[in-house]
Amino acid sequence: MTIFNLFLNLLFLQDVEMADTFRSDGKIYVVVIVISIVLAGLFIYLWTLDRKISKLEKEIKNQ
Amino acid sequence: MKKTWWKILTVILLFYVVIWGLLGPVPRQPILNETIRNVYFHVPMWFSMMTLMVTSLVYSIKYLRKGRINDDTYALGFASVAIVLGIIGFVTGSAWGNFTWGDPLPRDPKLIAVEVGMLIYSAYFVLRGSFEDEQKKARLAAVYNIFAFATFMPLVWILPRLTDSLHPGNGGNPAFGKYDMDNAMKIVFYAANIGWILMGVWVSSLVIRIRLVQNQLNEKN
Repeated sequence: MTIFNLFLNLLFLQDVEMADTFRSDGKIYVVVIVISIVLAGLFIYLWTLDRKISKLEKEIKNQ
Repeated sequence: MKKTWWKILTVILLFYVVIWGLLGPVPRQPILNETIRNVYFHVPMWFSMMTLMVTSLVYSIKYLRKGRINDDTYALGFASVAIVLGIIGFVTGSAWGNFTWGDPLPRDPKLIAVEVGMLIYSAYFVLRGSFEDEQKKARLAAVYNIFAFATFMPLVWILPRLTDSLHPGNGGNPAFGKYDMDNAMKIVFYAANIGWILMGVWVSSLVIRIRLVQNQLNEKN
């Protein structure tokens, strides 16, 4: 009977374990905030690098 | 900074992907569970890598036709960032496979093909290092780049389909439909691909510009 139930579960994809409690706690937003900060830091770094290279290019052109 | 709009688009797209990729709804599937969200981060690495490889190939052909050393610098920049993305794709894939396939490095045709392909591409950089003369180095590297591309693509795209792979969308002749995604996921997936491709182009443009500045400095000295 249990095997049959398992088969049914697989068939209808009902009781598939997901991070539901984790999500209902609301703490998932903390993770999203942390990753967003990391991404923002990376982008700011890329942006400043981009500007520095632009300055170098201008300097070389004016030499 | 010239033409900043696409850089801003990159930032917006990737923030959307990270935030909605984690919070958005995904289909409930056994074994995969929440890890299906890796599709937004692991798969775009490969798409981004392929795009940069194609661009690198175009510049290599351009160099062979016109003989301008700058085109070779472009080809090198795109190829080197492509390899970095490939390594990230490989490592993320083995982390994901460790939990869903039960093995970080299973004997999967797609994995073996990629390993061979990456070795072929790494020989491109070894080859470059072994020449002193600029033009000779550039010409041989360009020819080898065409060869590497022509070997890599069939290895990764065609060969795994002739046998059977653990990767979805391999074995037989399937299309995108086999990725287990619903429509809500597809929107994020496409945004992720565009975002990560743009990110790859951005980083390689920085690498290329530094090398161009270096070239100019070398000419002056």
